[in-house]
Amino acid sequence: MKTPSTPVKVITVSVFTILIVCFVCYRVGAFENFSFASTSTANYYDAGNTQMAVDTPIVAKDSIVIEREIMPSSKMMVMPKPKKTDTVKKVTPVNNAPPQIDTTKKKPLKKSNIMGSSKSAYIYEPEPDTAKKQKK
Amino acid sequence: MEFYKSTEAAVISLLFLVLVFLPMEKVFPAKFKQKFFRPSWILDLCYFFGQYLVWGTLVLWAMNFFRTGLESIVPENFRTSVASQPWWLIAIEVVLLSDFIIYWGHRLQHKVDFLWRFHKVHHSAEHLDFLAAHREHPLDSIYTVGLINLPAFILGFPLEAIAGLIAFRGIWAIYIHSNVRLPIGKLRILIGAPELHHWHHDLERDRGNYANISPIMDVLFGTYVCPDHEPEKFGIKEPFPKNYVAQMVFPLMPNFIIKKLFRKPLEKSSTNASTDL
Repeated sequence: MKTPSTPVKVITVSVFTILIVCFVCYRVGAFENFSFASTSTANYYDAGNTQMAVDTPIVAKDSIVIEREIMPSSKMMVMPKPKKTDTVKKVTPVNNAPPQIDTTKKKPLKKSNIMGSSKSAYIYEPEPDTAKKQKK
Repeated sequence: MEFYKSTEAAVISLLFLVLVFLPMEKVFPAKFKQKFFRPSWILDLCYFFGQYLVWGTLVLWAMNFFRTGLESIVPENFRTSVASQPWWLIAIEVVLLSDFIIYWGHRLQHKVDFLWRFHKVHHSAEHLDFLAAHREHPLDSIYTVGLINLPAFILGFPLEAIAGLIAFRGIWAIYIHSNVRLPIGKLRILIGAPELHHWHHDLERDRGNYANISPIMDVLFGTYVCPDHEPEKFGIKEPFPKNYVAQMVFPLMPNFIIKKLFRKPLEKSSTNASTDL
């Protein structure tokens, strides 16, 4: 078998290293800021006096849930104001107090919360269906 | 829907692994004659999908059960005193303790016959590559994942804090099984290398190199092996079935049943390394 040339070897090792670094960054959550679903990069539009996030269903400050229905422009993500036909659901707040979090309850482990086997590891895990859970 | 998502995740993961490791296996092959679609490729693919679609959930469930059990045993005072240390110190403690425990746990897997029953599923691979890394009996996975996470569970350390390191160790664990031989010099003592783990997969059951990732424990406890060439053959000397279901069931069977059911094939194949059951 013909031995690959030095440039091919260098390129292969470089690509391998870059992919490993990208994978580690992905697992750390470095790419979450680039994701459309991220709340941190979500664009806001002005609806009256309240700013509301246009993204995957998010509970805004005034407890209004908005479902994303259209794709943004390829140039920018400023969204039109909601029309009457937009699916805006009013969630009636039970009281004004912030929701109490039960700190005694331990979250169940996820694959990424544990060290994988010493032989292999999970590369990509499906995201939990948060939209469905929030709707409920 | 959940099954569809898991399948999608498994396919994406497989494609990523092919993208990462295939060029390396082509440019820096440890065994030049080994092809991508080598014998038992489908079997290892079954293990890969089995891990993502079925056994992963079982392992997670076992870990939750294990962690809950440990929480009731470990005194709260101990956890509080541990938590008062700086997080980076706890992280180092967790990683070193994990390495130490998995080293001895892995050594036991090769020494104790009961543990070897399950672990030899992994060692039955006669061709090593990134896919063969996934050949693992689910009970063997529970044992190794349990041991490796034991310090974090006892110390109450949130592993998300060292997610990067865990991700690196995870993909490195797959890399050391790949058909790659890369001259990294003395760096292999720190991060490990495929050639070290290839020797661990030699036909000899107690060849050495038990620390799967950093070989520091092997160096410390005198089991470090690093010849300048590849082992001639991988696998196990004992007869072992070659299909997925039989490999899953085989370790669970008592010896007398194995002897009764498979006497003929086992005797027949005692001259060979393995057999079709």
